Amino acid sequence: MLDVEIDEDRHSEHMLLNMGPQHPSTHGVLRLILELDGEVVVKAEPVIGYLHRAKEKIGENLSYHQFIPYTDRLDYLAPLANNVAYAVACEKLMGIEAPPRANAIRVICAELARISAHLLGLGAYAMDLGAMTVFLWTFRERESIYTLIERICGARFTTSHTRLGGVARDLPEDFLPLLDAFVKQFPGRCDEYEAMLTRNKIWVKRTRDIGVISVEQALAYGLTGPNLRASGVDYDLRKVHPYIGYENYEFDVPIGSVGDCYDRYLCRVVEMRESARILRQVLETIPGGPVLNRDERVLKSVFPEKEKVLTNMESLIHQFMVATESINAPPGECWFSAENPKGELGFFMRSEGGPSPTRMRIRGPSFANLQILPELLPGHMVADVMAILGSIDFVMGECDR
Amino acid sequence: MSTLTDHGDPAAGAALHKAFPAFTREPAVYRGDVTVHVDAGHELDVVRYAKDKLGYELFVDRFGADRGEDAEPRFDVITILYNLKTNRRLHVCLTLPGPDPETPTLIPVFRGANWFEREIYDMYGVRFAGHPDLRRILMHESFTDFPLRREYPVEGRGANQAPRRALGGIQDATDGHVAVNFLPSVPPPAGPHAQAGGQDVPPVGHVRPEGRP
Amino acid sequence: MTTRPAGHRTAELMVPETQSPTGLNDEGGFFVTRVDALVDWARKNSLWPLPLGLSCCAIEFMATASSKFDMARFGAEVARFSPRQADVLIVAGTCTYKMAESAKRVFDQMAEPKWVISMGACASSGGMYRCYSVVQGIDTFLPVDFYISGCPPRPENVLNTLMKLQAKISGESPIGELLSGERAVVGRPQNLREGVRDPASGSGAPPAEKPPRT
Repeated sequence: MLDVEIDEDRHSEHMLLNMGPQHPSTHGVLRLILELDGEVVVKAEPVIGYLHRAKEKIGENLSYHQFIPYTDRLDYLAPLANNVAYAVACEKLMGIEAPPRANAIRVICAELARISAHLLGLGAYAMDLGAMTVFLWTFRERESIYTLIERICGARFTTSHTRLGGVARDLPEDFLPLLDAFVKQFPGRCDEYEAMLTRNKIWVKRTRDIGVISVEQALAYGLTGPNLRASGVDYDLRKVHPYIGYENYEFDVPIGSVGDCYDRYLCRVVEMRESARILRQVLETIPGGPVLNRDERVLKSVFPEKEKVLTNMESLIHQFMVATESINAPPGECWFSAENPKGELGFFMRSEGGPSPTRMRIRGPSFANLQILPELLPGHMVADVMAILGSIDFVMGECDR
Repeated sequence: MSTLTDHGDPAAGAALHKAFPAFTREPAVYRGDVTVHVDAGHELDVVRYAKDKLGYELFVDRFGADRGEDAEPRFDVITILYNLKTNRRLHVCLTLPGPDPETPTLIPVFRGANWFEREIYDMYGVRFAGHPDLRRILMHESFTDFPLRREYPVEGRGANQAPRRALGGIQDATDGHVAVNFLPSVPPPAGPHAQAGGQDVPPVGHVRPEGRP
Repeated sequence: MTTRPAGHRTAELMVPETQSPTGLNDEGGFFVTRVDALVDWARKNSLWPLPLGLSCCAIEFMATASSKFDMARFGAEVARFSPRQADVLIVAGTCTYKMAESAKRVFDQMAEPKWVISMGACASSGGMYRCYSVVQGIDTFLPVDFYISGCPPRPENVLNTLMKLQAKISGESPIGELLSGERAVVGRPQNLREGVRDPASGSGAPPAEKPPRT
């Protein structure tokens, strides 16, 4: 309902301002009910759920493979990262491993997704604070990334590229030189964005010491990702629990000191540079080999090769069975979380031996990140609300699922 | 694979069980994840002990699970905590009987449990005693069902029901069954109504995928 | 753009014949049709969209508005988030029941003339989410001029639809209608569903065929 309860304690001179759910700066369908004393926010109440698409329920009714397209739409700024996280979670549940080349391709996917998500976060954030140019520049880079992603899997955006046991198809021959060209020019672009923003007086004034999140607050609310690291906590899942081969790559994790909006912005920019660094290393070290686990032990769990499917009857039936009846996971429950651009994307799956999980829990980082707003916003001015929302960089797709 | 299965610390689970032997069970370990099962009414103490004494300070997740209408106890409330110093994760699983489960809120220990508990209430109907604002968070306020309970169909009920065909409501002959043509050399029938026309079409099998509700 | 198979309702996809409803095309109508053409030209080349960016399609909308695909060349660069200042409501993304109230309110607040584009599979029909919380198509509560299929639709697809909308607008005659007193609601195709679809009965009545809008 759009009505708000009358709060008897509210001062009559305070104004109630409703932001959203349709609003340019709420980055999706977030609604904020702000109680203002002049320009200063006294109370803030976020209302979410405007994008609740029942993904967890759908996950309980579909097979593991059928759910992959739904994971694209969780954090829809970085679909490949969600695909990777989900695939690894399913593999953990079933005890399957992906071959090394598949893992390297997944790292490429995840890091391209991270760069893409941070670019959009930065662009939208800057646009909200008035710096329209940065938005257009970051979208230029995103278009280059979309071209790369389209070369990998055929779709610009909703990719559905990973499969249980690997990735859907191998990289095309001309892909690695294209990626190389992108990675070479990307740090120069980061320099351009930083030239526009990092020492820009207006930007600094609008983001420095705004929205300071303390370590205690961050831990209590379960903040993860750049939001947590900007407050000074060294927690990056790629480092502490490496998956898909992250232990083979050298990269640094930026840690902030103050925990304000400026720190969060800087963390994201440095993370983009570090992602480019990882991509350079993957380019040098990517191994050959299969991209899908076709071990005899797990053969009945994965799709057969497409060429065989089109020519061989057994493979056709096998493909059909896997696609319609799905793989039965062994009974048990487990949790896997990946370092997504927005934070820790977690999947908890409980299987009772059937083709679908009986509980598919998706822990969206933005759900936890947004919860801090009622504690964070009071005391700031209305204009700071945009700065804080942009710096928290949430996405409603994974918040509401 | 080894890096995927060393996320839990069985020693911490054992320490937790040792501190509360009457209310917890031996930690269960699966794929490296350590789960400590807790009886109703004691979750707050167990989690507080894990946070203060064992160092599990990062609140990662809190969600519900339903074992099915016939299971007893039916509902789980699982809390996931993380220790930043030892880099290990811990699951605390509280089991609650249906159909109106209730348990004290975890907000005194972790403020972040607020929205997570609202979501569990919204989706499962688990009430949290002491919660300052227990109301729906993902569904609109006038919604009356608890969608993630196993008996609630994914397409909804009543006014919220998503019809089988969104366009014009044409009756679909499949109705949950998948029409399968087992003989690829014979072209499949023209449509669901073609068989009624008495054409010489081989029998079409109907496969209901296993495990589907 | 989506074409519907027979048996489903047909939306106005193509440009209606350029005849003013008052039949003033011949002598006496020359001035009116010239002014009509001018007004149509002005309207179609300055369509200010209101991106109701609900989910993933909003990102592709943003890509359409950015430099590579550049909606600005069609005059539609100015994305106005205030309904009072916008012409085209582009519903980009999944509309849930919770959001539908706000979406309808936003549409109601828009000033005439207004058009609605349903961008993406979720807005057109609920998309891949056949579940308890997603509205199975915004045309259950909003009159839609164009549907764009895709999940998400490519920016070229969005631009194509914009061009089709421009073609449709150039076929309207606002001044003619104003003078003749037949104040037809501009941009309102007759494709709202007939009656309320009753989900409990399992199948709704198929909508009656409406005469094409002239």
